[in-house]
Amino acid sequence: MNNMKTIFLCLAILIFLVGGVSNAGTYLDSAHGNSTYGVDRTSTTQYATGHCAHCHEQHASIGGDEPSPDSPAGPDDYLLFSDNHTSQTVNFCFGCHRGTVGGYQTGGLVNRSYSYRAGGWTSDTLDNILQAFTYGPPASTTSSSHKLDDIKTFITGKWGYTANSNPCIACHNPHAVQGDPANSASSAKSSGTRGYPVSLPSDHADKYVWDVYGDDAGEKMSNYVYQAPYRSGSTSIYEPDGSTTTTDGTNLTDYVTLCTDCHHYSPTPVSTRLGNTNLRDIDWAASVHGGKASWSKTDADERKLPYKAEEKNYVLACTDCHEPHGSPNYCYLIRKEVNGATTAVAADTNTDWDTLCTRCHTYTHESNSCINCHYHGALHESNPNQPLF
Amino acid sequence: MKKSLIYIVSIIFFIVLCSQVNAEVAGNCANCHTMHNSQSGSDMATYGGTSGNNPCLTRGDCIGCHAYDTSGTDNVVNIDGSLVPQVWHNGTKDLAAGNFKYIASNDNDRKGHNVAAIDPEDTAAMFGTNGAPGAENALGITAANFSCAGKYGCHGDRAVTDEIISVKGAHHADDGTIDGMSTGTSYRFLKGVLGLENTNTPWQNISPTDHNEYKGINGPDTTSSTTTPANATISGLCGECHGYYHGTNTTETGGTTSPWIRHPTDFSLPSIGEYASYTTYSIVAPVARTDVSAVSDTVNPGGTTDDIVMCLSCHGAHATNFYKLMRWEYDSTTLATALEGCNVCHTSKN
Ligand code: HEC
Ligand code: HEC
Ligand code: HEC
Ligand code: HEC
Ligand code: HEC
Repeated sequence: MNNMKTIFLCLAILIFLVGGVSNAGTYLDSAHGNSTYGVDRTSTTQYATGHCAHCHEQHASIGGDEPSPDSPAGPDDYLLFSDNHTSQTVNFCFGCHRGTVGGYQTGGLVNRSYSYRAGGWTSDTLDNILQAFTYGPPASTTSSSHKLDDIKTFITGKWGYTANSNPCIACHNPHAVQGDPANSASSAKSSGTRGYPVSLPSDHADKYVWDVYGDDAGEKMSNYVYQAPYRSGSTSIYEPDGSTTTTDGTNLTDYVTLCTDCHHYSPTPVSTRLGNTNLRDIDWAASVHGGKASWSKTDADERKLPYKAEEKNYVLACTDCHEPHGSPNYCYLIRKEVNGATTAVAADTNTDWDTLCTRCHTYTHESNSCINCHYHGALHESNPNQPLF
Repeated sequence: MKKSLIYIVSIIFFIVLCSQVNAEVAGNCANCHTMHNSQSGSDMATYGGTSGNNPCLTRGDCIGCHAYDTSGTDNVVNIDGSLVPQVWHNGTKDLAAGNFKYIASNDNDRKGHNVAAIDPEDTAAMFGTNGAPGAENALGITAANFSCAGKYGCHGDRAVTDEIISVKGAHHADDGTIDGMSTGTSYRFLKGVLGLENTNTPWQNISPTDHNEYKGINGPDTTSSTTTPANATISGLCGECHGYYHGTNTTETGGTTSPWIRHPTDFSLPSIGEYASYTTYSIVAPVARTDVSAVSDTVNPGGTTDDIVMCLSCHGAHATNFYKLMRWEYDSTTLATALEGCNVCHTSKN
């Protein structure tokens, strides 16, 4: 009898679990599919806000003509209204994600930097994704961005991505993506406006269960010993959503897992900007900023708040230091605002890198540029068991 | 004397006619035919208003019989025992192809095929350079000549210009077997098209168990000629005029797999992912089948064989109450309603 009960219970749980992974739709919960502030192309206003038709054209013809944009004319992959991906600055997504003017979204479309949204650094003037990706070469050598062509090359053939995939799709599921903050582009995140913008690249292997990442309990930075940094100008409110109490990462997506999907993949992505070399492998578990305990007592001591001396094993989120799309700092997508104040890394010099490192460290060497020795994966010269980063 | 001679000649003529007749339409010949369009000095070819003399001596043109009483509520009218399906009527239950009243009564040209005899299309751009949106070949169709049948229409032999002559013989053909060999033995007199005509509730799609079965094939890359539907499918018929939406021209149709550049048709629902959840035939967004021998209410996405997207998965054929001849209100201001049909197949995009 007891056995029967257990079996019954197990079956019930199984049914529940299986039910949970079914194709429950998420489109109408996404930012694109929102019926109030979702997609709304200026040339297809006969359709409701959030409608498929704003991005997909069934036959590239309405009333005998292709709705705008129609140059180059003709139908496009995935029934999209334009070519999917052409270059760092010409991409289907940029048809709308280009700010207040020149896009196809009715009323324009503003998206802010991570430093703005999570760091609360609202003096950042950057207001759109195209601009963020325009940072860096070839347009500029004093800023940096994630290179879309390299992402495309990397994902092709992996996890169900093909040569036709849009590189933005590596991290975002267009039918699930949510605003964070949702529908309040020119505000920092708040607990009431949270959403989940990213999806795990490797989950794309089954694109029908490929949902947003960071929403489930096991997908948070609280998987590690995490300490949220301060928000811009404050010593009492924390990233990412301005909480004064939550600092353990329960409100932050596990960006370590997200980013290392590619950056700890073997072989790592190739950077055409860095002379076609493979990017450094980010083995976060083996890094001091990651899962490895601080190797030197002084290091653990000489840190600024909110990081406490007693804790030797903080695991940082990639987004604590990096922007995901682009940054006005000269290289590596370094955030312009970190742990409460701004950085200014305009060149590979000690002074410039200090503006970043001293956001958390009190100790500096008067020597070369910090990153000469302290780069991802760097090991101590005489003691290879001691990572220097 | 003169009168009786005419009478005798008429009788002979009738006997000759009758000998060619196979029982498909039912009822007295005179319900539908008039020998001279004159009886006691009055016109007899009066169906649908005075149509003048018609080929095959019919008492009306297509519209005359098939839009017999546009203000009436019957979707099938009974003229002295002859049942005539009504493509334009004022009832609530439209036939499978829709109801031309939507483009006729409120002059809303965007809801369907604007057959000239009902209400000519006003937007010149709809004919493009070749005669229809997405037309691959020159069709010669204009707002003024767009018709039910023949070269400038959909029914009958599209190689024949005259409407009635293009369907000649069809109404009397025995269509017990739909083999596509002649107009009469083609699905709904669409020459060359196969399918299963609903016998339970003729000319209508009522429910998952009571509907027509449309012919499809897993082969989006076959091109129709202007007179022959590719693979004898219903989508192939549409492709006779809208060729860029269905066929081999890969720069226009995008080949045989994702990424598609126009919505695929004559493509089998994949057995995996969101499509696998389409399991009960939907009359909102129906699928075509390779085997149309029996009506079925189940859908079993197989990936390569059956349950096929077709033009009629999204569109009506004549006119519907919806924008762009859609089967549901795709331009509804309520998003869930607008996507209702898409979600029948794209079950995860809701
Ligand atoms: C998946 C649904 C779907 C299928 C399948 C489909 N269509 Fe459409 N069609 C649409 C929608 C929706 C529109 C309205 C225009 C738009 O929003 O892109 C449309 C518009 C049209 C138009 C009008 C174009 C214009 O310029 O106004 C024609 C003609 C057309 N379809 C023909 C076809 C033909 C022929 C087929 C089969 C080969 C077909 N459609 C299959 C959804 C579909
Ligand atoms: C319910 C309407 C209807 C009735 C009743 C009807 N016909 Fe017809 N008939 C048509 C139509 C419509 C056409 C023209 C289109 C076609 O041939 O399909 C036609 C065409 C014809 C043709 C020319 C095509 C052919 O099959 O050779 C003949 C001959 C003909 N009818 C004879 C008759 C005779 C004789 C009767 C009575 C026994 C009769 N019809 C009863 C509707 C009818
Ligand atoms: C004199 C009246 C009459 C005229 C004129 C007429 N029809 Fe019909 N039509 C009928 C009748 C009656 C039926 C139903 C019997 C049948 O299925 O053949 C019918 C049936 C049809 C059907 C359905 C066939 C099926 O498979 O169920 C089509 C399609 C059709 N007609 C098209 C046309 C076209 C196109 C024209 C003009 C070229 C036309 N008809 C002219 C009387 C007429
Ligand atoms: C004989 C040629 C021909 C065939 C066959 C044909 N069409 Fe069309 N279609 C046209 C023409 C011409 C127009 C433009 C005039 C109009 O909209 O009335 C058109 C317009 C349309 C439209 C746009 C309607 C609107 O009001 O904007 C749709 C949708 C469509 N066709 C779907 C189909 C489907 C589905 C089929 C197959 C069942 C089909 N067509 C078969 C000629 C054809
Ligand atoms: C009868 C089923 C059915 C309906 C209804 C339907 N689709 Fe589809 N759709 C499909 C199938 C099957 C594919 C091809 C999938 C594949 O290649 O894996 C497809 C492909 C697509 C694609 C292209 C995807 C690619 O990989 O290139 C888009 C976009 C799309 N559909 C949108 C729509 C929209 C919008 C609607 C409603 C207007 C709609 N569909 C209605 C079955 C359907």
